[in-house]
Amino acid sequence: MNTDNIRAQMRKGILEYCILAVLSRNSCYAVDIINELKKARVIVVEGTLYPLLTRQKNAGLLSYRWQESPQGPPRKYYELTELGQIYLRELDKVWDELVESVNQIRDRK
Amino acid sequence: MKKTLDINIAGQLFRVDEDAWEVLKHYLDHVSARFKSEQGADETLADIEARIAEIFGGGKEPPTLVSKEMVTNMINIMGAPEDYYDDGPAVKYKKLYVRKSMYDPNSFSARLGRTLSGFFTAFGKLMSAIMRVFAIILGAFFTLFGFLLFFTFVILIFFNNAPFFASVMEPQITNVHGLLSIVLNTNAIWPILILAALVTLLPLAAVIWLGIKLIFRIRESFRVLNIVLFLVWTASLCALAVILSLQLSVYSNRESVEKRLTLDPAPKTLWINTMKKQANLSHDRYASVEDFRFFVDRSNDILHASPELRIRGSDNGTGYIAVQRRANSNSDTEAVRNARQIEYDWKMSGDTLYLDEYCTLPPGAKWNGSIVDIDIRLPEGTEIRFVPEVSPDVLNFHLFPWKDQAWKIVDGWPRSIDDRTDQ
Repeated sequence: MNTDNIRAQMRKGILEYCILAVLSRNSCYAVDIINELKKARVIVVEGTLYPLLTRQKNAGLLSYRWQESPQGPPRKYYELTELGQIYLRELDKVWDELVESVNQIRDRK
Repeated sequence: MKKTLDINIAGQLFRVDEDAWEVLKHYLDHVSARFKSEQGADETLADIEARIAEIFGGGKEPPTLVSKEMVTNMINIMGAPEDYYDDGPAVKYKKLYVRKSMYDPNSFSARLGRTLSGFFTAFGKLMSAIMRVFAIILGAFFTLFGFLLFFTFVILIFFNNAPFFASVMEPQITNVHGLLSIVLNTNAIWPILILAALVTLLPLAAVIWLGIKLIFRIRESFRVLNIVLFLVWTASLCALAVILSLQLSVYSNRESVEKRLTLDPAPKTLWINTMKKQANLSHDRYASVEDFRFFVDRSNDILHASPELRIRGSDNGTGYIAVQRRANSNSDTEAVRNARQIEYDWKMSGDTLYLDEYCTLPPGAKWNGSIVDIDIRLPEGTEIRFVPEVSPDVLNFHLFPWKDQAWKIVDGWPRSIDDRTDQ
């Protein structure tokens, strides 16, 4: 049985949460975020990230500043807004509850 | 031989193989169509283009040559637009793009487009270079100007009594502290200096920072710091205005008392001599504004100041000497009382006018605009001569040529007849 579809759906569900979690540590350039998400195998194609960043920025969860790049044009460095931090804390709770719920079900003998 | 095109992605110039361009254009059209209806589509597309430019290794001179393999590799990295939300494994480009290109690189519109693109790219680069040069010049000017003003102000306010600066600067500049201690309440001087420094130095520091930002193209704005500094500057300005207005309110009313002696007939030659000499004054602090001089005897808390002499012609064949003592206060009555407190002696003996070279305030009295004006009016043809050992300077009497000692009233004004000038 092919699990690709359900895996993609699960990743899609947690992707926005993961972006916020990455940005909660440092302000990041888009490629830094992509590298971290790729390393964690949450994302495969880079193009996925950009519409999500735009959406989260428009929702007031992120802001960005321009920073000079060692080569080429200046880069956008994204960071969490205050609203984004509050939202992330809520998502942390939701995630913990979800993991706990799934573990309870899995571990029931 | 392959044809190449010059294209602009995210503001950067690339040279693209013709077959690579077809694939790239399809991909960009596809991405654009994917986000067309979404909110913030322009921003997302701009971000994606910037990343594509980065993957292609933009910003090089000459422009990077983009091959079809590079485009395919880029698409594998970025993913196909329909994968963006599904986030499944990237589907190979060739499976996705099967449409035949309608683009004809040899058509008139394509060639015109390339020509215009090349022209405007070059024009954009030229303008960008001009603007950068302009920004650097402007920045350098702001920085240099700001630093000069900054250090001048700091030296004037805080280090003006240093022996080195006292030796190279005008006395009027170096005695700022002395003057302030005479004109203002002693306790208010340092608060005023510090507030004046904040009010002046903060905008200068802002000018310097602006210059540095322009030169080094710094984009950070430090909003919180800016707001805090602006509030500090506003508060300093308000505090300075309040303290100065309270300090200067004692100068709001001006009154004078006059003693006049009519000269009828006026002497053919009026000799001017002095009694109390500035040279013999005991003082431990000196300050001056132009030729108006203050002498402070701090041990006895006494202030002396130089008088001012004016000589003009009279219309009626007679003359007069009027000595006016003037002072300020916040009420008329107080101003008259202050004026009468000014001690100044003069007398006329024969054809010689004897004047003190300074006036004196009572011990402990603060200077409140206290000035002595000596106004002499003489008929046409009258000569005025200072005795040789008295310089007109000490009485603030200045007529060109400056070093003269003798004048004659001609057409209502003193004209030099000094023998030394004639020679």
